[in-house]
Amino acid sequence: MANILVGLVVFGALGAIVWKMVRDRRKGVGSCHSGCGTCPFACEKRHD
Amino acid sequence: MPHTIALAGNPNSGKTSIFNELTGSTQYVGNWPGVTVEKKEGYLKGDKRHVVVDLPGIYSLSPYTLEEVVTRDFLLDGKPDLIINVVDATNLERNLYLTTQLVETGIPVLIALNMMDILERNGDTIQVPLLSEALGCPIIETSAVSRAGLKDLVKTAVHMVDKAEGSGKVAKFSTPVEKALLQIEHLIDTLVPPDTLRWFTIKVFEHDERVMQRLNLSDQTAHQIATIIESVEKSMDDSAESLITNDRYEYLTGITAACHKKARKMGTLSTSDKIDRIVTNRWLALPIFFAVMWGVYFIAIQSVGDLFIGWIEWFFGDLIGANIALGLEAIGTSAWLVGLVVDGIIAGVGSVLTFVPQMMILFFFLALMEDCGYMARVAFIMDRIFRKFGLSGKSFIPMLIGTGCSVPAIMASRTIENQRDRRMTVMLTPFIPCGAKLPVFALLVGAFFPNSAWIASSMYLVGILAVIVSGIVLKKTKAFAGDPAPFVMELPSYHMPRMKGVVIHMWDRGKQFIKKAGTIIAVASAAIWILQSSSWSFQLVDTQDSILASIGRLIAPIFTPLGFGSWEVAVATITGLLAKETIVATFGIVLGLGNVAEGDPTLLASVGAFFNPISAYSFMIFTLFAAPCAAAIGATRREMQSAKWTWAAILFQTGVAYTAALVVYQVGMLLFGRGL
Amino acid sequence: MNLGEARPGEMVTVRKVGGEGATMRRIMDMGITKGCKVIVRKVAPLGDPIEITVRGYELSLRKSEASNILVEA
Repeated sequence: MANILVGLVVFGALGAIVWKMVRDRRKGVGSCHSGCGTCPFACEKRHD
Repeated sequence: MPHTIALAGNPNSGKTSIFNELTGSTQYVGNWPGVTVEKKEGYLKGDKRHVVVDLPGIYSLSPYTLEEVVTRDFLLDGKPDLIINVVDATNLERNLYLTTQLVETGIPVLIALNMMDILERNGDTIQVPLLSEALGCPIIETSAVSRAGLKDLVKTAVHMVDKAEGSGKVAKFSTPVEKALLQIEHLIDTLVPPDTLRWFTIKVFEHDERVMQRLNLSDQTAHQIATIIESVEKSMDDSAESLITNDRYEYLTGITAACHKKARKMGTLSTSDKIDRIVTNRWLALPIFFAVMWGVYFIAIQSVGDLFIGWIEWFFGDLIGANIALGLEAIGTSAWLVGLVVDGIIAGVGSVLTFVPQMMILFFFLALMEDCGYMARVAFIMDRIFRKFGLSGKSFIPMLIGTGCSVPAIMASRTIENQRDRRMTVMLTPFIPCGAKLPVFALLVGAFFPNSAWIASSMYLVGILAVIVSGIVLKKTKAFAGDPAPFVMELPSYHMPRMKGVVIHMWDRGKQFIKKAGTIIAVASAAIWILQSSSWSFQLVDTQDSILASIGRLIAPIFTPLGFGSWEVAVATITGLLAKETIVATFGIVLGLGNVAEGDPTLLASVGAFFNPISAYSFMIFTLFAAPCAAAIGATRREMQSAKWTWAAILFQTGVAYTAALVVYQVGMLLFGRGL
Repeated sequence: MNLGEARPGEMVTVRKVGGEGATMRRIMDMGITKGCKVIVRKVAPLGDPIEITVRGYELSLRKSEASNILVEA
């Protein structure tokens, strides 16, 4: 019982992370904060 | 359809700060079509009817740099409704030089006269109404720091867009030039829209190749134009391009002389000059630079950073890991699942998170150096050295940032105008040990060289040496041969760093790193743990018989000549491609290290089975040079804009890594091998 | 005399900007034009590049680039 429960949580979480990573990649979500303006290369962004 | 407002201005004019204040969090970052120049867009705060497009920071609208061409194309083809031109009030003439060119495009221009607070502090004055009258453009005084004038700026901009008010006054050139322009105007006035006629006329006069191509003139017209230009060039004894530039500045000198009063005479020293006298002093510059770098590393890596590492190791190992293990066992979870969670995910993520503080402190200082104006001076000091091996001083900035992380470093190479130099910088920057490679070094140094401080620092030296040697060698190849790129660079005034921006920058970097640990590293750790504890038929087995072991054994022979031919290490080099931190995580899981502190005797006992001191050093060298992590390869791909060049970079880096590690191991064994 | 030969602290007037193409245009775009006054601030610790003040701001350029700029004291 505990195995199923914990397994569900762990693999569910891992699955969710992978799914989100793939989706973000497709949508091209940048991870830039609007505040870091002073530096020309502050943030990692997607460029296409 | 929303209206488009273009934001234009010189680099260092505070344009980006203004853009951030105008658009807030609605920004969208993309690329200009076909080039690696960044394009930022956003709605005016709380106003979906107006899109603000942030144009690249430029000094002129010449056809020679990518940024300038992108800007020209956007102004002519993107048809913005208004240009907000950010002008640095403390550097009026050079900033207005761009303004006169913007006005010629026929698009209405609104001037944001920025840094007025600094101007006033210097005791200078600008008679704004007079300047506005002379230029024919409305002017709003702003300060992005204190946010003064920003509301007015938005209000005026929206008003101007709605009323579609006309453009400013164009610069008047000297009589012979104006005469020639008039003649050219008559020849091309049927080919271009009337409001851009002035711009096209001047560009044709300047022999601007891009415009000539675009207009596609008939042979007869082209010949007529050439004759007109030639006669002016002859009578004025100067090229058309420099005639225009000269007259433009002359025109501006006339305007600014009337409305700009300087408290300080030319040649007297400002505070910034006094700082500069010391910082770039002939004798003090290099010692100061090395002291600054040493200080940054001492604080980031040694003292403060090291302090945090202990806490985080305790937090993940003793607090989280141990208690979750107890909790899971108490509710009757199987040993393998507990193992996956505690020894796999938590150990893997924890080992990576331990050096987040080091990274953040490092980025804090790098941002500080950039923001206060020191970075440009570093390029100034180092140019001579870098030019010796084929790079310019500007290449030094990416390399410096590369000590933090290769990804922003590779992106910073964008400021290098020459393509050859840029490619070479992108290729060589990953040779500088980044923050993520440090824990790999720390682990091995802790195990094999616990008492020698210089082994870890030697990685920086070796990295720099590799950059130099590669630079000299690559410069001899056909792809990189050629004259050095010009080094005409503005040295911005020193100013107090804006703490808000610096802290945000640091937090951003840290956040990304933590996010990576929570996503890609967590998944990779779980995957590695599963692979190393199950067989191909998914039975729980001893690590020796696992899937991971069989994969590792397959590739291990490649690394035998380098001294680390065990499957465990072979696997680590592969997982290192994901992110360099995973090497440590892999060791942690595969070797069953969990969270052992550096210098712990058990660490040496377990790592000692796979390395001797020489092969450990050879492995460090291999990690230092080998193809960078996936994120850095991605950044390389984006900056190179070519799959061929990306592969060339990866192969070159890995080739250097293999050769260097081979030499280190074989020579090392020959010299010291007997005593081991 | 060209700008590369001027000594630190010296104030000179630009007579002509030579050279061609992108580099010449860049130099002129940055405000170094005929008749304008330039002060040589200093030479970098390793002898190159140089720092000058032109139109109220600081600019760095290499001696090889400065040698295309003809000046007089």
